[in-house]
Amino acid sequence: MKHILVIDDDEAVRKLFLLSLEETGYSVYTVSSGMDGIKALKEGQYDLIFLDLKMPGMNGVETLRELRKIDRDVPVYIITAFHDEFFAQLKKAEEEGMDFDVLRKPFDRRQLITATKGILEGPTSY
Amino acid sequence: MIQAPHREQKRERHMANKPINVLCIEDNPGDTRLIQEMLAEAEGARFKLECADRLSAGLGRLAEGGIDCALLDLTLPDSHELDTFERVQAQAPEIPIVVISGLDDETLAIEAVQKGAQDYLVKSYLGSYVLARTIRYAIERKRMEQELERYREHLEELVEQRTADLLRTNRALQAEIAERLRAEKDLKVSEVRYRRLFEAAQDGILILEAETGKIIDVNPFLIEMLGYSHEEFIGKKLWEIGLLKDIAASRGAFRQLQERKYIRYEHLPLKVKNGKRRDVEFVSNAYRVDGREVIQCNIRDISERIRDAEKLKTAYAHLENQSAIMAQQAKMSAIGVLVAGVAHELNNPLMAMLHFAQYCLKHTAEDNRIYTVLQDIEHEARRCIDIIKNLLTFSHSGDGKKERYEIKNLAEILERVVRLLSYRIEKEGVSITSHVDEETPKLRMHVNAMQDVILNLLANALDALEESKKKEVRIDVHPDGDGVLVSIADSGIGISPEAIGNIYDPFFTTKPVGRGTGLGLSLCQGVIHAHGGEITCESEPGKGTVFHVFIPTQRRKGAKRDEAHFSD
Repeated sequence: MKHILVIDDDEAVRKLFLLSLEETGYSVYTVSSGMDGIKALKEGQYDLIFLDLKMPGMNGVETLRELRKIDRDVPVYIITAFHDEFFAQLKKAEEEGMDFDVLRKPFDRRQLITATKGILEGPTSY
Repeated sequence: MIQAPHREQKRERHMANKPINVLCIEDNPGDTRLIQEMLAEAEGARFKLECADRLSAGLGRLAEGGIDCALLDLTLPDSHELDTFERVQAQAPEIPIVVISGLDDETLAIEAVQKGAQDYLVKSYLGSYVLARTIRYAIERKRMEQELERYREHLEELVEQRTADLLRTNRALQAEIAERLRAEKDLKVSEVRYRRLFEAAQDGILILEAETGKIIDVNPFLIEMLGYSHEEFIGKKLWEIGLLKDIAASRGAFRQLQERKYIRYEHLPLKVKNGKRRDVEFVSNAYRVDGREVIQCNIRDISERIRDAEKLKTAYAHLENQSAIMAQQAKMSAIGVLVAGVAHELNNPLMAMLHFAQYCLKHTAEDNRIYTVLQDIEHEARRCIDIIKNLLTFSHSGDGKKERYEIKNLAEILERVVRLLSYRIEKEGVSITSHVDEETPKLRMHVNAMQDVILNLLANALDALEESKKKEVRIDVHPDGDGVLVSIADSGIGISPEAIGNIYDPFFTTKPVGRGTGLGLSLCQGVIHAHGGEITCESEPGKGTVFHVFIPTQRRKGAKRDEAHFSD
């Protein structure tokens, strides 16, 4: 079973990930802050991470930097509604060579499952 | 004037019984006695004789006064011949002197008469009558002599006085003449000065005859200003030249001027010779010169002042317009910030709602009554999400990409939009005709934003056609001045006059709930303004609506506006 880590401060978002992805056959673990996400990655192995960009405390880009120190290869989706304020940071992270994809909010159930499968099941499953 | 003593009065004195005082200066007592006897015998007058046997005594008596006549013997012990006479005469020039002589010295007596003695008597021929008469005549003659002398003196005095008067008058006359000459000269100077002012004035001056209103003089400046020649002015009335439009009013104004002596127009439009209009300030007043009433009209060209005022007015209106635009932009910007904040806050919960509905749908049988309700929830959540998307687009708070400007042909974008809407166009049976001028230049624009504009306008046109029988949309693209004009006309329901003023306001919509957000045209306007362009609308309810979008090929100078960014 593939393991997915969701880092998002919004409980509703964490819930929708659980509802949509668990019954698709993935193990979903959710945390509400960057710090908790880093802790979770240190303690366990994940196949995919959904990381919210706008969070109180450590934001998505800062968290990503720490996550990459622990695991250089795990695929990461940054979830964002594209705030101008984070655009520059995101671009900088990209330039630093940090690997991530972007999942743009709002997305529906189908889009989420497609994005997830695209990473975890390989391109043939589209 | 001095009155001459009256002769009659004098005579009366002699006729009265007042004695005639006679002084006889004679050293021969025999003669003296003889004379005394003769005088006593004389008729018609009383004589009182006094005697002096020496000249010195005679002179002394004369000095005392009261003597009317002197009888003088020229040969006295203390004086001789004419010397005697002269000394007596010197002592009493006012007293008549009668010389008494002997036969031997009659010549001397005559000499004395020549020197001023009244008469002479020869002792040998003396008689009472002759003596008395001679004395009286001598007195009378002397008196007349003196009177004559006084007259002469008085006359001289008079002449002198007259001469003085004449001199004074003459001087006064000369002064007056000089004064007149000076005045005349001054007048000439002032006339010349006035003439020079008149000729050189930088205002137009017109002189009218007050009674008739006929022009009697016009200065060169006015001729230059109004284009009519000197001859065309002179002798005519102001309203006969063709300067003034309203002849009746001008005539009325002239009557008013005649009555009040003053009239002033701050602003009077005149038609000059070449038919052009000239705005003047017109001030005229009446005054009297050389007994003739004239009217002077001062005419000042204020065309430039008026033009400046109009320019100022235009500039002010432009400024007001600009400030209204700026206020609108500030409003939009504030709304944008607010909307973006709210939209972002709603993003997560709405997305979660959508997912929950979808989860429920997945786990509910289609024949379950709840299934359609869940579908409704899903549908409404999507609607909310769409609104949020639009709001974020509107507030420009999208993905932050600023480099989406390209030089493109508007016709291409138009084609793409028509393709996008082709399903709806076909389904609703709308006929679209589009005409694109081949000369239309390419434009530098934000392609996606401009596509949204065209999409919005075209979708609005389709919405407007839904309930009308005639379903036509006409699209026109052609060069216009320094830019491109796109017109999108529909034959739809039109926009009511009440609504047309608000169509660009955010959240204003006439569409049924669920169909419009009220942001479409507001968004369009924002995009078009960001391109330095303009959007205008004409509409007739029941007939249709046309939207004109003008986009300049080049940014206007001074309108330095940052190229705004739009989300995809």
